[in-house]
Amino acid sequence: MTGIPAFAAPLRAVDTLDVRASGDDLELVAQITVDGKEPNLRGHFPGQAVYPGVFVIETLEQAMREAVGARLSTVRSVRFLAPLLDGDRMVLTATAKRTPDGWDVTGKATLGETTTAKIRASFEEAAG
Amino acid sequence: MTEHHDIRVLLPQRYPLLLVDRVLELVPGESIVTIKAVTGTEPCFEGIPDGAPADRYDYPKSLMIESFGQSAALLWLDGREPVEDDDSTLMFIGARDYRFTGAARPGDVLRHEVRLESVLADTAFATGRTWVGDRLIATVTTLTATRRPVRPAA
Repeated sequence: MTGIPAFAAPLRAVDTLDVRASGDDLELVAQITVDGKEPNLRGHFPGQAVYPGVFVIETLEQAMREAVGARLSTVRSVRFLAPLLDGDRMVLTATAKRTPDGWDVTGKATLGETTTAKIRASFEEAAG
Repeated sequence: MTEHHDIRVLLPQRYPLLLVDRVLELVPGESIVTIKAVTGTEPCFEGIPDGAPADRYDYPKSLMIESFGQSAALLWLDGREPVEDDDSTLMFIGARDYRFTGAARPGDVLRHEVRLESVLADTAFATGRTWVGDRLIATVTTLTATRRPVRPAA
């Protein structure tokens, strides 16, 4: 378990990250509690903080950067199924499979028993 | 051309997540071209230490998608009567094949070209590209948005 990635602030999308190797694959569990007082959420939306769907993508990107230094290249499919509000704790569970030039990642975000988002994405190794 | 003060009437997002600066072109029901200027004073770059590598100043892809999505919303909302009921909000609910081919950094202007592909009931499907000058930095096959309550009653 690692702390907050340095690059996450101030676009904070990961509170804690757990990474485990599973054969050649990686299993990632990233968690974030939606903080309605966080500056970005004050503008999304005024009067009612809703965690922007795109921040789920940001959570996955920050998790993959922290875990293996990989960068998002394609969001193959993303579906936002239920909103996250102030105080909700999102758990994003993802499996990253090695490809010749990066990783294919399949992830699911949950709030308790509710699936809030599903995502499939490709990541590439960072240059250098 | 729709200026920023007009955009604020149409979109519910506010600083720092209102991510469209100006509408350059709008063909109602068909297409829209918008711009979003990226500057070094964006909140997303706050606190980056001196000496950090150049790519720390890549504009976050999540915000690029949000900016594109807000542009699509402006296209869809154009000419519609404001909904009055209403605890529903226009929401981004999905995307397919959103591919990044480049990055934007401070000083760049994102130019989003969005086409409305179809509208089924209250759900809209859009497609498009994002440019910085003549550099294509993102393409999206399908982006989907709908109007729904923020949190349905249990």
